[in-house]
Parts: sequence; C-alpha cells; structure tokens
Amino acid sequence: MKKKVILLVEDNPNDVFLTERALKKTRIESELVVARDGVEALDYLFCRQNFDCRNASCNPQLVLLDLKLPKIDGFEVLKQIRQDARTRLLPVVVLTSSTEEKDILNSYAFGANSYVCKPVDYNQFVDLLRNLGQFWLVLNRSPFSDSGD
Amino acid sequence: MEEKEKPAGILKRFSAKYGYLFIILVFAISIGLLYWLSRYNYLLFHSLAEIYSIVIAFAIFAIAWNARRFMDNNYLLFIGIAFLFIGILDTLHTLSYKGMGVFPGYDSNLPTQFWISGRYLQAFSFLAALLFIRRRVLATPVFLIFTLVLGLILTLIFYWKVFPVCYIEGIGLTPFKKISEYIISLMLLTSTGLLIYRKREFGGNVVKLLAAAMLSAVASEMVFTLYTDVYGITNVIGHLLKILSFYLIYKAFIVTGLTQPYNLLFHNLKKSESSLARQAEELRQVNDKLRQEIVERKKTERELEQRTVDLEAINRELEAFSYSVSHDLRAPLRSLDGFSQAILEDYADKLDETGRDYLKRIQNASQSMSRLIDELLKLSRVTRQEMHVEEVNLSEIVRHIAAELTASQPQRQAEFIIAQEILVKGDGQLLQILLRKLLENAWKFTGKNPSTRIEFGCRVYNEEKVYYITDNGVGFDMKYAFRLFQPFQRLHRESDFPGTGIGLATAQRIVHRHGGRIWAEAEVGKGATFYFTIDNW
Repeated sequence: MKKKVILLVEDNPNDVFLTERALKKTRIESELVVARDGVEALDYLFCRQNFDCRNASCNPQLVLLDLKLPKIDGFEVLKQIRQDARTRLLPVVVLTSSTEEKDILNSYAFGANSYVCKPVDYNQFVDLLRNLGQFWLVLNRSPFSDSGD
Repeated sequence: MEEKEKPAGILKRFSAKYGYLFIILVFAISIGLLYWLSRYNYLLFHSLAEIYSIVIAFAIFAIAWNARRFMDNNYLLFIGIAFLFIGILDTLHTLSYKGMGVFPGYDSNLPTQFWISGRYLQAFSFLAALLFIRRRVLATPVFLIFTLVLGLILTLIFYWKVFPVCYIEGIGLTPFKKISEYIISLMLLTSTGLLIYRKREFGGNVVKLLAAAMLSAVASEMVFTLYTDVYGITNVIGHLLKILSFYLIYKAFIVTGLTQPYNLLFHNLKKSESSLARQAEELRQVNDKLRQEIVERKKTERELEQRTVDLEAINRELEAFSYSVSHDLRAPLRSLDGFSQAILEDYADKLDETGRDYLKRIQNASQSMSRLIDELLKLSRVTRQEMHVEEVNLSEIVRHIAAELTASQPQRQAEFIIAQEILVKGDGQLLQILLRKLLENAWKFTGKNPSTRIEFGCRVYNEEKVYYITDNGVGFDMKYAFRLFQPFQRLHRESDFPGTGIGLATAQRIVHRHGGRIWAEAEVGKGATFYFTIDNW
C-alpha cells in the first residue's frame, strides 16, 4: 500500500520539527510533506514551480493548514484550494494557535473540514495528532482514496 | 484719546443755547411791550393778556379732547377738559372787565368774581386731576360735570346774585377775595407737591413745567391780593405772572406735547417701546448665547467624532494585538514545552533528577503562561464583543454551571441554592461568562471546606435589583477588596488557589458593559458574597 501523504503547511521550523516528532510517536503510517508558506503549499497542490514533476493525480490524504503564513495566508490558500476542481474536495484541517471566533467562522466559511487549536502542552499535542491521524487517515474515507476496501 | 466732536453736535448745542436765550429774549421783549402797553392802554393790555391765556386754555382743551383716546395719562386729559371751562370763565372775566361795557350795570366786582371762580376751578382741577393719574377718565361725564359747575357759578353770580362780593369800588378787594387767593395758592402748592411726589408717572420736563406754572400762578395770586385799583401796577404784574404761568402750561401741554410727544401723550408707549427694546436686546443676548452654544456643541460634536475615530483606531489596534497574541505568542511556548518534553523522552538516560525537575519547571511555566494568554484573550474578547441583548434566565445558567462543577468533583459535599426564574435583559453569552467566573470562584475558594454551600439570588435595595452569589469559603480580607477586580491581582497564593487573576476583571467588564456595578463583601474564613446589578434597558 502506498504511504498516505499529509501536507503540513507551517512556517515555524520548531513547530514543523515537533509535529514530525509527534507524528512519529503516533506510529501512524504516513508521509509528511511540509510547505513553508502559502505559495509553496499551492505550488505543491497544483504541481507548479518546484513541484511540476509531481504526480498530479496523487493528492495528499490530508492538509494540515496553519492560518498565519508568510506570503499568502491560510484563508487564501483555503480559498484557492476550494476554487480549483482538482482540490475542491480535499480534506483540509485548520491547525492553528488561534482561538479567535472570527478565525473559526472564517475557516468554515472558506470550506475547512475541521478546525483544531494547537495546545501548548506537548503531550496533548501528540494526543491530538494521534486522533487526527486516526480519524482522517484511517477512519475517514477520502474522496481521492484508491485504497478503499 | 478724546474723540473729536462732530460739527453737527456743536451746532446742535449752539442752537439749544441760542433757542433758550431767544425764548428769554422774546419773553423779556413781550413783557416790556406789554408793560409799555399797560401804561398806554390798560384795557387793551388786559384784553391781550387774557386772550393770550384764553387761547392757550382752549388749545389745551382741543389737544386733550382730540387725543383723549390715545392719552393713557388721564391726569392731563382731566386738566385738558377743565381748561375749556377755565377759559370760558376767563373770557367772561375779560368781557366783564372795567371799561368793556359788555355787561352793563355791573362794576369791577363781576370780573373779579369770574376771576376768582376761574382760579378756584383751576386749583381744584389740578388737585382733582391727581386722582386720575392711574384711573380712567370718562371724558363725557367729566365734561358734563364741568358744564354743571360752570352753570352753577353763573347762576350764583347772575341769577341768585349770592356769589360773595370780591371787589368794592373805592375800597378794593374784600377779605373773601384775599382769603380765597390764599386758599387757591395753598391748593396749588399742595397740588405741586403731590405732582412732584408722583413725577415718575410723567415724562421728563412735564412735571417741571407744570410745577413752575403752578408756582407762578401762586405768585400771581399773591400779587392779586394786594391791588386796590384794577388798573394798578400790581394788577399788571399779576397779569404778567398769569401769562408766565399760562406760558408754562402752554409749554407743558402744547410745546412738550407737539415737539416731544413721547413725553406727554405717548409716554407709556415710549415706556413699552423701551421695554420692547430691552426685550429685543434680551432676545438678542439669548440668541447670541444660543448661537454660542450651538458653536460649542458643534465643536463638542467634532471632538466626539474625533474621539470616536480615535477609539475605533484603538479598537482596531487592540484587535490586531490580540490577533497577534492569539497566533504568535503561543508558538514559542509550544516550543518550550515541546522541546522540554523531547529532551525528557529522548535524553532521559543523560539526565538526573534535578535536570528532569528543571525541565518540568519549564513546562509548567510555559503552560501557565499559555493559560494567562487564554484568559487575557477572553478578557479582551469580553470587551470587544458586540452585545446581543435578549431576555436571559440567570437561574437556568446557574443551574447548568452548578451541575458542571458538581460533576467535575463528584467527591465534594456541595449544596447549591438557586433562586427560581431570575430573568434579566442582557447578552446571554457574556452573562454566562460572568456567572461562570463567579461560580468557579466560589467553587474554588470553598474547595478546602468539608462541605460547600453556594447560593445565588436576588434582593431589592433602594428599588434596585441586586444579584448575588454567596459562598462559605475562605473569604478574604476586605482591606484588599479594592484590588479584587483589577487584572492580574490576586488575594491568594498561587500554591493555595491557582488562578490567573483575570477572572474577576473579566466579570467586572461584563457587568460594566451591562451598565451595572459589581462589588464584594467577605470575611476571612467565613466566605464571600459577590453582588452585581444589571441595568435593564
């Protein structure tokens, strides 16, 4: 079976490192692709620039999207994902520090599938990632899933 | 610097001076001429002098009668009517004078009788007129009464012939005539005094002129007590004084009446005009004040607009700030906690107990910092959040939170006493946060009690509904109560009762946004009560 891909859109290298580490601890089979800003995330999804040789038919299983990003912010990324036929149905989970109601409402308005706050407590974060992986990679049926039963 | 006098002003002053001198000059020449005339032809002199005063008397009547509807000073109207009859008596006096030959068979007693009755009538009129300063004179009845009086005098003289003898040829004036002149003088003096006493009722010069006229009449009467010869020198002086007296009345009535009508006929009109001018001035002042106020209000409005703009800018900044706090401030804390955890897990074998303790402390610190950030964000949200006013059932909310608290620590012995159906108008979400803060507080500070008792209710103090939450917890010293609602202020040690010190600040903001007040009463070891009001709008 092909490894399931998670696209992590996150600019903070510490967060990237800690997320990779936590994901490893969850022992969920997956490949983590990291985009450091909004533009890179879209380039990856639409196979542009550095990613033009990527297999376009192979979308990630899940996008973990931070809201505050350099160049293009998370909302804009989300909007463009939803506007493009190739990624319109892509599961996107907003993973952010913000607890602002405005951010939550906007995220759903732009078509996020889920909104999750990053806890400061690392153990809680590991639990969170485990739950997310369990749900989105294992329980949830992706629209792009070719490994259905 | 003194202002240069305008040529017109100088001229006016000169003409005033000149006019005064002119009048004196004319008067002196007239007197001179009359005196010369009296030596030349006494009868002609007497007739001219009397006609002069008679003309004035009739003119006074004419002016008063015609202006009677407009004259609101009835004193003058009354005198005006009287002067017609005085004039008639004086005419009779002139016609009957020695040498005129109009009334054959009568001697000089007759003109003297007419004279004295004329003077009596004049003195009486001046006295009686005082009664009508403030009273309405009904012109026609007054006219009729004077006609009757005149008729009576004529009857006394001509028909009944009982009018006291005034003059006896060869002897001179009778005591009746002399005493009458004194009585008349006394009446005129009294009248003058009373007129001066009530001078406020008249315009400027009128009183002066009338008083002067009456005083010259008195002087004239005095002189007339002295003569023995109706052609004598005292008689001449008496008549000259009478002319002066009538001239002054003329001055008062006609000249003053024509050249300064405001003073005489329209004195009150002028009074009301000046009061109108005063009112106009007041109105203008009020207007100016109003205009000033409008200018000030506009200024205040502009300031308010500016303040609103400033506040909106501050609000936007605050929002940007809390957004930034929300997004950026937690990231480094996550790193602190996360990497500490990583070290604890990945390098466990290289750390001793102290090392692990230090890392734990880093984690605790970052987590408490995280809670602080959460609370701060809540506080700012409570301040910024738009209000949605609706009817809120506080009892319901309290029951809900109480159930949650009980469930969170089911081992605790706790009793909640909740008043039923307490309804207020307010923002449901904010009020829920408020009650949660207060109940969590009560729950926290009763945590070390063997049994917990928390009460929610409402009492009316001074027609105001006051809501309260009472607990039987550790309470606090009222000395520090003023710090209770300030952010980051705590009355208990973190190790005893954990907390951020923002909860009650948040509660206070919510109450303030509802236009209410919040305060607390407590005693160490005996529990605390938090009171709040909600302005029902």
